[in-house]
Amino acid sequence: MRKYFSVFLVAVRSTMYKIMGILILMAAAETILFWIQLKGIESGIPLSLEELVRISRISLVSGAAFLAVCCILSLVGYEMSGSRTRYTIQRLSVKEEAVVLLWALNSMIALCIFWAAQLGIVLLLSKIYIDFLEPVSFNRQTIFLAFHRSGFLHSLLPLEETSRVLRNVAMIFGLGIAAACFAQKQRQGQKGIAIMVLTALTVVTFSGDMGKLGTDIGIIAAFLAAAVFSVYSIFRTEANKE
Amino acid sequence: MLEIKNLNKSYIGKQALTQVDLKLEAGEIIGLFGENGAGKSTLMKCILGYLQYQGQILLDGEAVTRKNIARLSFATSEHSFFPNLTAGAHKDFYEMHFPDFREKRFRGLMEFFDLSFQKPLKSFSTGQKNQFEVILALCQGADYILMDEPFAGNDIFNREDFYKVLIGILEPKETVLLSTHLLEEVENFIGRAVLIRHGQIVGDVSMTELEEEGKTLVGYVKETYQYKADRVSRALSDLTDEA
Repeated sequence: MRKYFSVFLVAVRSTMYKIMGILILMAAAETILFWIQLKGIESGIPLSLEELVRISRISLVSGAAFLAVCCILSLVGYEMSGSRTRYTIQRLSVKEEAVVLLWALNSMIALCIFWAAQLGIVLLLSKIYIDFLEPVSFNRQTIFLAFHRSGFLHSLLPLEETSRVLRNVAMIFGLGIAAACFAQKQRQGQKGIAIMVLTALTVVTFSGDMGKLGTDIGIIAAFLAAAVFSVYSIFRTEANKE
Repeated sequence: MLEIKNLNKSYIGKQALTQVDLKLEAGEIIGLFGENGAGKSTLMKCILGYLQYQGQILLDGEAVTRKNIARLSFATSEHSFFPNLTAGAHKDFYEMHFPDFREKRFRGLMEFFDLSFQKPLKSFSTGQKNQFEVILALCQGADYILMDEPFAGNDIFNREDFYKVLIGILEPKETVLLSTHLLEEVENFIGRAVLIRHGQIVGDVSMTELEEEGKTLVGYVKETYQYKADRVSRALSDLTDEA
């Protein structure tokens, strides 16, 4: 177990600080943009929370941060700076399939942290919004309604829309495996494009409106198919080497 | 003992190794010499299981598998570490993964070569990367340490320091197979020289034998390769005539 944990930690160490840095930058950028817009409405008619989130371009910042995170996760074990990491990986007492799966697990955890951090930031900004407004300008359901009306906010916190929760889980699962496979493919002289396709798909479809069950099912199917194919390719490649 | 029996390796359309038989006894320091493309790296990669091959490679009578692979370590000028990680993170990783990791030796060598524990390895110079690559191989706790041109890019002082340190720290059961072109530099440091040419072992001699015969390593290599001393002058003469 210690050997597996040591391999897992390689991925954690390669990504943790960089992802933390991105999250801090993302939080700072989103807060500043939100605050600028919030100050702008001081003398005018108060905007709704979802409108304020929209004009603050928070989803854009989030998308950029998400791309950066996916990039960092894909580079774990990637051969660069003239180093051939395959020579170390193939010399471990843990099989390369296990190495890839452990690094996929790290990617999934990192993406969960990203999701949680983005949710935490928008909830905090919602609190700032409420504190900023006159008491007559909001009610108990202001935040709830904003998360109901905004596709971006709703997808971050889908509450009872199970299909959206499952879609997000499928996204994290698929992206995690595809990210780990990207470097594995490169080590074997191939190209792994699944992570790029899934990242683009996530950016394009993440902020979908609520109640789109068919779309959610389609996305779940696409991500699970990509994940299953990637896992299959990991084991197929290793079997061919044997 | 690491035993290589009737090893053959071919790439598409090219025979890289032909009927290689070699025994590496525990505690030996062996120099592996040959021209570029002679098969030195291929031989090492076969031993480590990076390449598929025909024949047998046995480590104390057993095939090299994941169960005993930790008994082999590898330092290459291509580098095998994780460039995004620091030296400290590598130490932690090796310590956890390889139960026989030599922590004291690692700290001593890091200090000796004045390498940073905190900087990512990608920020190291080529010479420092080579040093770190060799440090990892020496500290893994392996019985057989394979080094493929580990000092390419290091200056002469640096290399000499390394030879001295290496002789001083190796324990009796540790075996080193060192592939290099720097014949004169390692002459006094190795105990045995193996020559490979066109994928075949063409020479295998102990340094004691050479000494008794009054030969130098360079002389032995030239003799084995049937090096023609007048090759350069003839070529120059031809070229001059042509001009």
